[in-house]
Amino acid sequence: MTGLDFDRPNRWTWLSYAYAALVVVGVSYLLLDIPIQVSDSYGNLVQASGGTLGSLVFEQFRTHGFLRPLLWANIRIVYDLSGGHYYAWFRGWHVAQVVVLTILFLRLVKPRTAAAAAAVAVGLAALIGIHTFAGTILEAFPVNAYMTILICCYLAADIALGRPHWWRDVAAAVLFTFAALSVESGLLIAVVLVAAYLAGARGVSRWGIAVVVLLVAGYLVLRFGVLGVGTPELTERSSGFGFAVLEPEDIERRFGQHPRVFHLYNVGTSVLSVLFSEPRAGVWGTTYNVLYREELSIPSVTNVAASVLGTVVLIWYGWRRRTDWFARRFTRDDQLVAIFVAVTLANAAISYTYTKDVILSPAGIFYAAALAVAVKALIETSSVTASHARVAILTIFLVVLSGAWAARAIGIHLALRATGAVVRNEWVYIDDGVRQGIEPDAAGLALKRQLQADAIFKHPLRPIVLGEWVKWFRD
Amino acid sequence: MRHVALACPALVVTFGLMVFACAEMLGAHPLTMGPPRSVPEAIAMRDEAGAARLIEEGADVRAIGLVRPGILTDQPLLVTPLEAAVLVDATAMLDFLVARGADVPDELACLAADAGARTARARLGERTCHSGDALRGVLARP
Repeated sequence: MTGLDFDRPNRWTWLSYAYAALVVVGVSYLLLDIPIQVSDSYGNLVQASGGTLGSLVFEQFRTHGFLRPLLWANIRIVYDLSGGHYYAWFRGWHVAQVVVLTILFLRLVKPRTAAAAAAVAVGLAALIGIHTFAGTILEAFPVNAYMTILICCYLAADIALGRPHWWRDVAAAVLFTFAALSVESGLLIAVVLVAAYLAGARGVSRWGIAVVVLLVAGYLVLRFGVLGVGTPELTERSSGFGFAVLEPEDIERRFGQHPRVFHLYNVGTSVLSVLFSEPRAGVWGTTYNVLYREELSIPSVTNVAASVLGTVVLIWYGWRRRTDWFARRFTRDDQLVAIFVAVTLANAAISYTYTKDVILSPAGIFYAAALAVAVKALIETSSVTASHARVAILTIFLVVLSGAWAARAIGIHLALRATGAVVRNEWVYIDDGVRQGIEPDAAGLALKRQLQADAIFKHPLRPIVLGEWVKWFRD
Repeated sequence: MRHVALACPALVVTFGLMVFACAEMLGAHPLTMGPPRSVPEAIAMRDEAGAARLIEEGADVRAIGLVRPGILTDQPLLVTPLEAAVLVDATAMLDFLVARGADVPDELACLAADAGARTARARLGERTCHSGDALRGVLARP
């Protein structure tokens, strides 16, 4: 096959897409069972539905701590398009996001061989099974902004890794602007584009990269200089440290004089979390269980095992490719791994004030893509050189790796079903919530009644999965 | 061989989920006990929305209902909705039931103590109880 033939989709590509379609159908089946949630959702919908689209966006430029005008515009647009069919539209939007993300994953990984198709199965299990991804599908916000950013990150990589064209420069600038004004982690789009460029990808030209860098500078000037939006304070949220979660006053007491220690801890543990699934949100939960609990939690050990094995494959890949990398020769797969490394470091850096799983979701999706190409390389390399004994050991290793990630995928599917119950139960007690904080007008109350009816009466919970075996996959 | 070995675990999960979803859509309930059959059973399953729906549809908030074996204990239980809420320590549901006309008997606080339901116990207050009597009374129902 020539290089051009190799770039064209073949039967392994279509097989991978067919398999991915089944994965998406499975996730979507459970995703559609979760109604729009109460917390961080009902109040947002009430707010988004008031006034005009323009006034809603304008107001978001005057808030403190967060700058997310296009997220609110996104919510409002879907709200208006829904014509009152909120469940179908908002939950359908979430499913559509998963579909787009999966297609982009396949476009990046580009399966063209049997080894690549097999690696896609592991990569997809890692994509949906990694702990950083959970918040993007378990949180049934009207529009899950984290998922939006994940799509933008993959799209940025897809643009950057393609053949050079002027429209890619324009698309990169537009994508960055949209993502940065949707959620703060949208700034990572610039990291994706720059990392791809430094690793030799020329889909976006030098001038295109320069424009994106200028846009980053413009964003920072706008946010901190012009609008004075600032960042959330150190003491606004509780945060994990060591074996416990510290309340804001504890954080202030312990780190008020030395905030850098706390910031360094958050950055360091964020990197470790992506690579090893431990600690999570700054808390060393699995380590605590191993050291101090008599009964070992199988899911948390599986999570760590899957990540450790996956990271070992990534390290092997980097070691094997080091000579070419030092000589600045990068393949497309190398570029994906380079983007993963850059996004992980940048993602950890922006988590300096506060770290949690879902904030690291951009690094998590590139972990899955990097794992897929590294596993493919592992199979292909050993096919050429390995002895029978090494092939046997490698096969066992791959089965354990794949099994561990498959177990994590089961865990997320179980969590999806359980979340359906939790969200519906919130709607039973919504009136307490209304009394406690939100003060909706007549339209807001009508919206509440409709969402409540959707959650409890029109779309009742599918039966909860029960059994001792559930504990093997989910804490 | 290695390709199949690598893909196999993920394929099993995906195809297993397909079978599960298809069976559910055809009306079967693999890996589950099916929908709750009474208000107490819905509460015991932590399907509080299901309990609320049954009550809105006319179920009696005071009526004793069957909780099938395997949900709370290995044996079937006959409990009121309030007792089920105490057994799973669902205080919000306790308030929900009281607001809809359920009467709180004195023994309920004793049941909360016997079941180790801390938040329900705090909500219901302290009572003078013989330890274990209330729980034994519930378990002994024919």
